Amino acid sequence: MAQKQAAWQDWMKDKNWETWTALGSGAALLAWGIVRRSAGSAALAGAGGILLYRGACSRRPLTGILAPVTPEPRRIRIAATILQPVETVYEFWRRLDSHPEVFQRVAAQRVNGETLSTRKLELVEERPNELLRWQTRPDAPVRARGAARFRPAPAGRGTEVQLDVVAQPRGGGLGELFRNALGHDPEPRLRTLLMRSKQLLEAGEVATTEGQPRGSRSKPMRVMTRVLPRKEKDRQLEAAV
Amino acid sequence: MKAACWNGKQDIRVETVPDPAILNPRDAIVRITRTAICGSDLHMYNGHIPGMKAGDIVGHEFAGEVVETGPEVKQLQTGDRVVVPFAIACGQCFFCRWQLWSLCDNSNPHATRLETVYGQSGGGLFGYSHLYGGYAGGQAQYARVPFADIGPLKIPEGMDEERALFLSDILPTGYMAAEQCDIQPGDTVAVWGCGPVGLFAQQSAGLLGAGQVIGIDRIPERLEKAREQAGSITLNYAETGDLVEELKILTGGRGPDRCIDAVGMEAHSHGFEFYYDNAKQMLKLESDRPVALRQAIQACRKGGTVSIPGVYGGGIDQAPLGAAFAKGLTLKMGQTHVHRYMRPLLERIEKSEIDPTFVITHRAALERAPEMYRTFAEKRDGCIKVVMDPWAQAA
Repeated sequence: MAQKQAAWQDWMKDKNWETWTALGSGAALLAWGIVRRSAGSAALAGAGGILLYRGACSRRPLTGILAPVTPEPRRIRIAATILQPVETVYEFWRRLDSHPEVFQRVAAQRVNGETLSTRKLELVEERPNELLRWQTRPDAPVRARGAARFRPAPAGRGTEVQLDVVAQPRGGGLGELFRNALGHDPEPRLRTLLMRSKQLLEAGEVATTEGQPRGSRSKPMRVMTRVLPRKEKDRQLEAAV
Repeated sequence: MKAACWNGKQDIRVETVPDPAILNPRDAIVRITRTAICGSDLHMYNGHIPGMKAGDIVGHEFAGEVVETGPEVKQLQTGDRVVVPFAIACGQCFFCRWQLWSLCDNSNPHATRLETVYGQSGGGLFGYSHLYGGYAGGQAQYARVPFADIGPLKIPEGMDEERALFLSDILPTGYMAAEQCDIQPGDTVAVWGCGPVGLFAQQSAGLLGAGQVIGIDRIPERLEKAREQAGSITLNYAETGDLVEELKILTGGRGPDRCIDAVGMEAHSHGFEFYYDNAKQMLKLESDRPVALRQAIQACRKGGTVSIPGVYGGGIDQAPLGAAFAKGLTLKMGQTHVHRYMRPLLERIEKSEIDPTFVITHRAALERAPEMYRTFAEKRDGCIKVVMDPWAQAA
């Protein structure tokens, strides 16, 4: 209970005239849009929803849209243990571009109209069986740098791989919200990349269900969860399970 | 081909869908000749399993004939009759090498999703939500089976598929539930639930040296099966008073040495507690109804073991962890490591020590799947286990 109260106080502390304006007008637009029940008012309700959301989550819900600030670079750290000798794992990661089933399906998503591939990455440091460090070339669609560290896991349990990536998102404000909504958050893609490399190194193939049969999707799939930022989504997922 | 597809809560439809194809080098395609509905399919049917999408092909207990193999499949050939374990395992990761097959690191293409929920992800399962990989299931005419050299077990010539079918899940699940109890001679083993897994757990407890086995349920025909097939003493909790007290009376006040919860997240009871949990579950304030688990912990003797083959998915309320701690209990649980048990249990079937077909009460064509799900879910018509033939014409 005390914790709940503290969270509420934190939330209240962040509020200012701008957030209250956004919350108030957002709620009004949403209610009006819902009550009128026409095609145009659905858009109004949507805009109201966005205002409400921004009012709840951002300190600058209005000016943030008009003058997007440069967002903080995002640091992502993930790790996995792969049951192969460190030499094998290191060599695999050094030649990631020769394993299209791992890298391309993950990275070959269009970012700002361009495709990110290993060709847009340059290796800046390599210490055999220990470390690989990359950064994006100047002509790459995103700016990022990263390192992979390798070390033997205890008792012959393979190799621990640690990825440490710093990505500089473009733009901010609404733009970032939409990009995240469209699945451009780099973290899940990095996790998938690491998982698939492990699958290929251990099992000899990347697990998939793409191309298997299924019945007709009689109900619309739930897509709303993607629009929410990651932490909130996790909480919802946890609550749902 | 025809396949049973999940379309929403209590909405299973048999649809015509494309035939499966080999997608990876270690895959095989199996033409399914027998497929069963599992009690855990009912959790999905009742909408308690997240990560389902309309159109998903369900089912994870199936046996049939290999009709196609990928280039890396060495042990199986076209024409082999096989029974397929519900858990998919690569055979090469740390967990597979430690015989913890259902915890395989490499068989769940959506492992990162399950990691968000559970910290780490187990392996993929057939027909059991996209969190567990989204693999098309076996209540269909054909299925694609990944890592075909690792999972599927050849059915010996002359053995009817029906006798081998339950090696896919419920027989190993009941057996593992009893095995992980570490039963000592003379132990009393109490089993909550006399569905197929509970019945096999009771039978296995007897095979593993239990002195006395107690089966708990409220359905008369299930209790009768427990008495007949496992030699259990039975308790109908709807008729006895306080179940925990009753178990104490039967064990000289000590409590059962080993308690098995073969019920899981949708437990029933006849008290206020059931309505409390049911209401919370409906309001999504609690994902699982742990009535059987609470009783098992409460009843178990000091220093005993509580083994949980029943499925849980999320959080539970009022879990008596204090009682478990104070009594120094050991809790064992998890998806069954099916691969570990298939061969030894097949041998027991061959020696006629076990005849798993006794649980079957209903046989039907796959086309009748929607009706069979309803019958099984509502425990109508004495239904304990449904086996379906994907190729038979519905009468």
